[in-house]
Amino acid sequence: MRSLSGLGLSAAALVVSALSVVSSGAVEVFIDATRGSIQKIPIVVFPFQEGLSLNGQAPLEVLKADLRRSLLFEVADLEKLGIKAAANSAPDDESIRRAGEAGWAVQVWGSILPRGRDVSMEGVLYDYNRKEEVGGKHYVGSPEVVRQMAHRFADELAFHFTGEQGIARSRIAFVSEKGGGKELFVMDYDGYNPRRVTFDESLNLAPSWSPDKLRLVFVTYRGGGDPQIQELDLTTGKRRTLVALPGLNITPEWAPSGEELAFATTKDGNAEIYKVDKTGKRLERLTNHWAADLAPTWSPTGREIAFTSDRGGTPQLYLMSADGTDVRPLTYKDRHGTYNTAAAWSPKGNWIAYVCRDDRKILKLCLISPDGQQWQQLTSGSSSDESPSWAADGRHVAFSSTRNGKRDIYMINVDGTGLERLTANGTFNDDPAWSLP
Amino acid sequence: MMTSMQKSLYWIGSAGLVVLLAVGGCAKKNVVATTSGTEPAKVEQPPAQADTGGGPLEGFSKSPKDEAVKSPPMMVAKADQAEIDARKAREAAQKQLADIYFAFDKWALTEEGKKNLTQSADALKRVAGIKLLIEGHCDERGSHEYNLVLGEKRAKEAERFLLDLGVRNPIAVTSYGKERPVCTEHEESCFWKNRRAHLVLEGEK
Repeated sequence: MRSLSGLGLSAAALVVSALSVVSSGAVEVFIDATRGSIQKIPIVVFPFQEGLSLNGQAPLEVLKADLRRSLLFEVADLEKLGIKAAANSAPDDESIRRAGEAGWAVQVWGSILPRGRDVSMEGVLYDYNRKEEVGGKHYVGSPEVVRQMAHRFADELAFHFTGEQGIARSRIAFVSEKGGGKELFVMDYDGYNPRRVTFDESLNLAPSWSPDKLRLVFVTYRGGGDPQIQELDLTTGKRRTLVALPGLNITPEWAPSGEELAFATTKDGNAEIYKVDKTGKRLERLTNHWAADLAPTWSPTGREIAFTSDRGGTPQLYLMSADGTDVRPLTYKDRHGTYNTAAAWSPKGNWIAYVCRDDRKILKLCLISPDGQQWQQLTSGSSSDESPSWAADGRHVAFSSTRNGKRDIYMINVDGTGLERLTANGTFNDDPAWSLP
Repeated sequence: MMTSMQKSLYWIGSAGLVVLLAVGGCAKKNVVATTSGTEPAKVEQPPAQADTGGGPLEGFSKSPKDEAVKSPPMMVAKADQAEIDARKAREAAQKQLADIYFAFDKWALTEEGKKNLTQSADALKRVAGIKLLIEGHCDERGSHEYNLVLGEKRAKEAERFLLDLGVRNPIAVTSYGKERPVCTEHEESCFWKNRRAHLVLEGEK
């Protein structure tokens, strides 16, 4: 007798068994079964009982959008099925049966009701095949967090069936031009609730999240003169300077462990990659070459770093061990073009997204596997696409693009489908950084 | 007879195995593959984290308890208005500090140079607390060390003029000789641009 969750875990086991660790001593490659061609889990979300008026998108729509975006679920269209279920805390038996018979065995319903000054969202997960409730969730919070409740519920569903942390709770930091300066903003991963977090009337660029999602490291010109790397603690609003070496200090990225920060500095004359421990005190040099080396990105194991270097004459991507040894090229100008930069290593390890240049010299996004064997152009068209940043699931990439005039943040699935615009505020938005969920 | 649910999970598993086999066939490196069914499902551990709005996922429960949901942390970096005002004042003043130019092998101020320095003096008085650096430069003709000395003479002339106008900013003087030219063509159209004194407020370039 297998329960729904038991089936889910077996599925996860089979999927996970397709994860191979390929080790050559130098490169670590994770080969993941990407979900493009795998059948999604069919799920039906019945209308929730809603006892309050909510601004913006209904939580039900937030939940369904999260489930669709995860690429794990096929969300039923009740209208197409001809099922008219009223918005009750539980649908009528007839609706449940008709949806189940039509193949939608995973069923969800619930309610969103006021509880004093707070809101309570109660959701139920039902297994039509076993004819039993698998379990439920009860969320309580202020009315402002109803969207967060829907996101959390979507992530619980993803976790239940695949063991994966879903991305619906994640956030995207980005840079927005405001009155001649550039400031940092943070928004929900679906583009909602953008909030400005710096007010320096200067240039703040290149935000990057700490792995614990509580801090943003970024490049600032606020002190006048050369750019420094500072860190903003989102739990306190306090800032500290991490790197203020003479010259430019740019492209900061935390190691997945959160123990070390890789960055580039021109203190030696040309740009070199260094790393510093989290106290900012212990500096370690990684590259040593007269050419420009910058824009490091860590592999998910923290053992490898991909970066940009023009040591071969044109900017290309290179790989090295996290201690700076074993530097070798990843992109080649005769195979991959003369301008490849801004590498971002997928948290699943299997792809590195980067900025490439097409035949018309327009900047696009490309993907290359860390072993260099697989390559594809991810975005097309005549817009300038830059600054790729991965979601934690390794299936979505955020980037900035001029495809709608100025510059906005977009997300796209790793197979090139599902393009979604996330900002539309009439200014220039750039440098997205996608947090862990 | 499999239900739809079991069918879809069968496909997930089969596709996974197919990928595994495909990978095994193409890999050139040592493949360490976990075989299906012999390992328990490797479920990602939710990362240990401080309160980021709700804590780690807790899974479904038959009798769910209330789970508090909060907004994730979003404390903004408050503007330091004094700092912003000071920076803007400095940037505005720096824009007023034009380079001054000199005749070949000379360190005397020209009329044009005096005019520019007078204008600079006004701007400097508005930011009297900020340190000023005067850099002397030369064109490429002549030896390195002679040009270092000539550059410093030019910077000191400018300094003297500013002090006479009552400028109170702390002033430092240096020379780059012919070491930091703004252009490198070997002709007068470039040479004159390098025979200069450059004024920089601390915190600017």
